[in-house]
Amino acid sequence: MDSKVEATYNRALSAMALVGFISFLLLSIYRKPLSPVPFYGAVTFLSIVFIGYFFTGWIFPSSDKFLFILAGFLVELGLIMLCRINIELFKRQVAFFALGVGFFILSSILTRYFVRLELNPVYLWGITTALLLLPLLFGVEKGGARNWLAFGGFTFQPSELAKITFVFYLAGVVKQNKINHFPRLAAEILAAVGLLVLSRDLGGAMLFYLTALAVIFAATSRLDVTAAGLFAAGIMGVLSYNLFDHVRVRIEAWLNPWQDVPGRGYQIAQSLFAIAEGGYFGTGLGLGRPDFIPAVATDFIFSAFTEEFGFLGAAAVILMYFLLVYRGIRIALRLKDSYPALIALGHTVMFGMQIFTIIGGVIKLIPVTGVTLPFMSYGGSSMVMSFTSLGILNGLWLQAREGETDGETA
Amino acid sequence: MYELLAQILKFLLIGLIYYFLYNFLKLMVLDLSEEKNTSGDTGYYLRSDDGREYPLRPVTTIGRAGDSDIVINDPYLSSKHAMIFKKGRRMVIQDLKSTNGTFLNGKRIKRAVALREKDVITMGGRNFTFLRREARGLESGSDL
Amino acid sequence: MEKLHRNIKLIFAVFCGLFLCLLGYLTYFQVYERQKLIESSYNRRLWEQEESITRGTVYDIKGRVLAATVEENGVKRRVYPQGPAFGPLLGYSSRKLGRAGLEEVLNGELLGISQQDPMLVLRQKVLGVSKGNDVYLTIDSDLQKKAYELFRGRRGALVALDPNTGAVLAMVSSPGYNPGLAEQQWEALSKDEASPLLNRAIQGLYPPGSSFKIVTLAAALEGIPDIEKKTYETPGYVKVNGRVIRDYEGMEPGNYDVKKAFRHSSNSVFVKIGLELGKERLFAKAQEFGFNSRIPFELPVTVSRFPGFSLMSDDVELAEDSIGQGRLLATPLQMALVTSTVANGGKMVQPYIVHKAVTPLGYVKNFQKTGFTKQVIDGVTANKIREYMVDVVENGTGTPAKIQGIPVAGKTGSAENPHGKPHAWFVGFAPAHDPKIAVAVVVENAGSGGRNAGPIARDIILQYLKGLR
Repeated sequence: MDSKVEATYNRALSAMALVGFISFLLLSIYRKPLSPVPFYGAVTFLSIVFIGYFFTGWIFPSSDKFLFILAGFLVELGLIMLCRINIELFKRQVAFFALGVGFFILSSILTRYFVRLELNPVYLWGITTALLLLPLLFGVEKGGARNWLAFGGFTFQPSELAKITFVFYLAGVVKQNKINHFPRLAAEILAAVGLLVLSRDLGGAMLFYLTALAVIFAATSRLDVTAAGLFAAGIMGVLSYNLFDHVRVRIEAWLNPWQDVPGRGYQIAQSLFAIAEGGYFGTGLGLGRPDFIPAVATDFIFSAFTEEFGFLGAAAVILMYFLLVYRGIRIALRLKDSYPALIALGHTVMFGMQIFTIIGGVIKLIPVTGVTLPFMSYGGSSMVMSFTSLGILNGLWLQAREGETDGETA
Repeated sequence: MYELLAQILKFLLIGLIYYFLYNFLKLMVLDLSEEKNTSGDTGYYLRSDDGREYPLRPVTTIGRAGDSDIVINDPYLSSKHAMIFKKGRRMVIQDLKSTNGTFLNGKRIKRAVALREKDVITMGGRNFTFLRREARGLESGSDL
Repeated sequence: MEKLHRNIKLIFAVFCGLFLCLLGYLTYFQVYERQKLIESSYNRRLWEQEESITRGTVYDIKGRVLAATVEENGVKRRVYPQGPAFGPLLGYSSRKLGRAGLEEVLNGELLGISQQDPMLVLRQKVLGVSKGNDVYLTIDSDLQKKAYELFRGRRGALVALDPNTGAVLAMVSSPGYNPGLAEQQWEALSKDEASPLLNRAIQGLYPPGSSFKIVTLAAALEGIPDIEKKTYETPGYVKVNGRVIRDYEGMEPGNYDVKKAFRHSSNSVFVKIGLELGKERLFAKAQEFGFNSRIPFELPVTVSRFPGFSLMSDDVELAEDSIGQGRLLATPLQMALVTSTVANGGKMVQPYIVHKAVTPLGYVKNFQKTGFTKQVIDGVTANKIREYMVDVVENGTGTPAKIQGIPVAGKTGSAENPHGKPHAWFVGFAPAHDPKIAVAVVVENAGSGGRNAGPIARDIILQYLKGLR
């Protein structure tokens, strides 16, 4: 590792530690009586970050630290907001983070050594649809979408795992740079998307669909298919606007939230009020009113963050997510074979679209769809699966580096 | 009291967040500049017996033909004689089925072979030494 | 492989675009939408803030309290010590009724939430200040109350401006109401036929009648060569396409030049002049004076209307336009601006009513005017009109506004309308050669302008000039 790069990482890590200590110390004196929980939480969190950082560095010296530190910082910002909103959620989120780091390391190793064992895409498709079908049959409803499974006191969102299997499936199907059975491919993708629509997870359906389009386009260079796909998406959008009541409500709330602020426009209006309140520098940690925002720990955490950290904080977060996407793309470009490159691309697109969808939604650039903001939103499934995706990217990166260093023969 | 503290510290926090971001943007710029370096120049070159130097690009073809990257007017060379290309961090030489063959340190090569510094490549009647320029670009960049 | 890389780069470019959209929209939101949302009445933060913040005080130019919040036994109450003269102008701020008038427009300022400077906010937070900004108006409350009394409950409005700066010295709408009692009297106030809640000075549209002849005169002096040497013979009426337009009673038939016609406010002569000018030139001049466009002002001003070109346009309409009748409608503020433009040598200045705002820590925010000024008529023409207007008050229809020792320039108007007796108008300024105040007065259905509106203008001018000495 280059010393100059290492030094940059170390500086970023110290900035991260400082932000953590300042914020969590502040939050320790936020509530009366004084509570040391946020501080302990911060120590635990930072320990996990450093352990994860050094452990991955130790087993894989050329591991992509960029991704890990960046994601860690976003988790930290999310934790700061969660700690301020609800201390119980905060404690659990720290545990989810630890689990996530574990999965990051695990999936790095698995990807590094086993990505070459290309599973038959048919099986992957089977797993994906099964995962999406399960909640429809046995699931419980949360926040309007029926995409949760409950085991005892513990709930799990299978669609988060399905994102990963779906990307592997896509890469497997189109890696030969051509589509053999286009009708079959279209039917398979639409079946997965359709299951999401049935469980009323429209944001998820959109993510799966657009990721599929992007991967197909990258592999085949077929502009006509992509354009037709986008056109079909438009038609489906119009259809669902006319068919489903909950879609219409969301779109109308987006077009004119001020018409019915106490009713349909409530969520988005509260989100916008919070963002407006922030100004450039924010109200200051603990001085905003996240209690006015509905679903603030999950979907609308970005609004609460913007209120207290301001436009400048929000812009920084958007740029960090952009860097994450950039890094994912860079990994995809480094990979020499099309299969791993498409996997890296698929995960990156899934991430990028999800980030764009939710941030665009809460600032009223596009209609709100109930997806979480990776790394920042509260939620075990989202946290663990985001880190798993990240681990897959890291594993692919390791593989790319491997190909470069032992290229004795060609 | 808390309010006052939070009000003051918010500027510090924003500052730190941007310091963090600045470091990562710097890394991105480093990435991109490395990309640029590698796409144009590899930092390696061949020195011929007569002292002439030929810089190597990511893919360099050598031969008699006018469209080769390095054109050498020697009757013992084939029109497309050999190719040197970048694979990962290494430079690799491959013979392009030339009539008289390509020799690396005196041994005729059959497959693509990775080059090491100061290797001597012999094509036709000429010797070339594979050398690395004292440049910073590759050293710092490629390890990212 | 190459293609795959190219495609991945393309997809990355799409992401660059998407993330730029996010940043761009957030910036747009920050710059353009933010203030509106902060002050939105749906915003729960605002309600909470109002509970904890003491609303700022509104003062007049001399520091007399116009509206203030007092706390009695922990209950906050807004009081308006100056009474009904200020009702339509100040408006009210009540949890039950919402907000109106300046209380609405200046809400952000009075609550101290429109601050842009974060350091200032910080300092206030540090010192534990929970008071909004105080706002100083350009209004002189003595003048305002005096003017309100002069209406004696009749319907009408008065606007007094400083013609050099555009500062509003008084803005009266009669009948008024006491904003402090708005909640109790709401039922009666909202049903009252005299609409006391309406600010007639900026929202009332009246035919300006002969006071509009200033605009016609300006267009004629600039547009008809040698107009001052021309004479017009009139039998006391004029016939346009079969429509008869009469001069006022008591005007003798005969030969009139422009000055004499202006002095006696001859309709027949001005109709002839208007026809000679043509629609285009009169229309253009009226537009330059601000008709058909929104006057930039802190409070929302209704647009004064000069009828445009249409299939219906004919000479009858043009004839009515030139004497300020027909479909031509103006707000009192518009007519005050016309007058002050003449007073100011032809240069129109933007009217304003907020002098400054002072934060609780004493930081003064001056409301620098955008410097909206435009030369509507040239200086020479303006001076001629000034002399004509002095002549009106000295020898013509405006004699009731005459003040001993101070030359007053003025123009009367008696605007025909379908609701009864003509609306009485008087517009003018004084001292004529060094104007300190420009006034527009309208009294609804009072009859002749000179006799009914003139004395109000005279008393206001006199009181103001006395105060300056």
